[in-house]
Amino acid sequence: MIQGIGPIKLFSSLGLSAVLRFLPLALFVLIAVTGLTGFYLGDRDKLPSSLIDRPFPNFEAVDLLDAAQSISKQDLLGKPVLVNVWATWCPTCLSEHQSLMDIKRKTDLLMVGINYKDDSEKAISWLDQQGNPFHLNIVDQKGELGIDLGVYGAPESFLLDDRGIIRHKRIGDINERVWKREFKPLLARLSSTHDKLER
Amino acid sequence: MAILSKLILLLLLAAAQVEASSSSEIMDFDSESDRNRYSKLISELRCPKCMNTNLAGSDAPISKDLRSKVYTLITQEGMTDEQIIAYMRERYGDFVLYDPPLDGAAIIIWLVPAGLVLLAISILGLALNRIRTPKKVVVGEEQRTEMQVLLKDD
Repeated sequence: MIQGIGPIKLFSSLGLSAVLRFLPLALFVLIAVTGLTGFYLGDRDKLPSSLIDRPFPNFEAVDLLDAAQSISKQDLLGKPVLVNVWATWCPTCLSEHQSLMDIKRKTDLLMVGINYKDDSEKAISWLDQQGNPFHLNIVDQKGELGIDLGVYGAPESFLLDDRGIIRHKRIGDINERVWKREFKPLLARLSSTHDKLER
Repeated sequence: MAILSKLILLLLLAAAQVEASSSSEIMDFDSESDRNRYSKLISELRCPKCMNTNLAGSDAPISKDLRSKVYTLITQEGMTDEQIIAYMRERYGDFVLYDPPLDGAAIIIWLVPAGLVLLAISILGLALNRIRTPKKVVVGEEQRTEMQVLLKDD
């Protein structure tokens, strides 16, 4: 233990009894700080994604709005993409819906929805009623693409760069605060590198 | 006494039954060894949605999906146990392993207790050292004569 040397020298110069007198207090503070840190850490149910900086998985899926069309990874390349995993059975998805509509209006992101383990008819009527924030709607009825994306609930969102590399993952809803804090700065960086490559 | 031990056995069996019945899908395997591999894998892999339940013991929809994924990977893809674990880890991270590799943040968990033990031992060593070495008392000339007077009185 490297840091052990410091305290021991300190102990012997201060006198052990003085150190021992304050040891319980020091231990208490240590335990309290550890406990409080753990308490405020929060989000213990959110796993770090192992997919960051890895390519979006290859897939071949049916278009929700036109069952004759199929969508593949090729359709997600060329500009930054926001992929949102949602379902009609997920109440949080309803509460984040307006934010997605706003993002579609404000940015030039390609918005891709993955309708995860859902009834396609219900999903279509949801988009009719609530508005459709997505340019592309992927059907993932069995949750196969979900497994490839490490999805374990909804909503989850991924930000991809123009080459289809996953740059950010959000577990839970996107609201204005989350958008400003987690997505906007990253997107600005991605867009500027994208512009450089274009020129 | 015989009745009591039978009763205990019965209780143990009942407990084992509860443990096993959480995943209730009926799966068909070509061989008994595949079935064993399946049960072993779903008991070793953790449900990503839950804090502390394995795939075998969880009713969460994602666990059901992952169980059927493990089944497919064994029976159709012919993957080895290592490949299946790598497959899950690639997607859900170290969290799905109940025995994560010793790197990154996990190393702190192992080093901190060891460090605390070392610290405790060094404090104890210092304390014992203090007790063993007798205290040196500086005695002045005046006090020395005083002491001698007191000792002579005795």
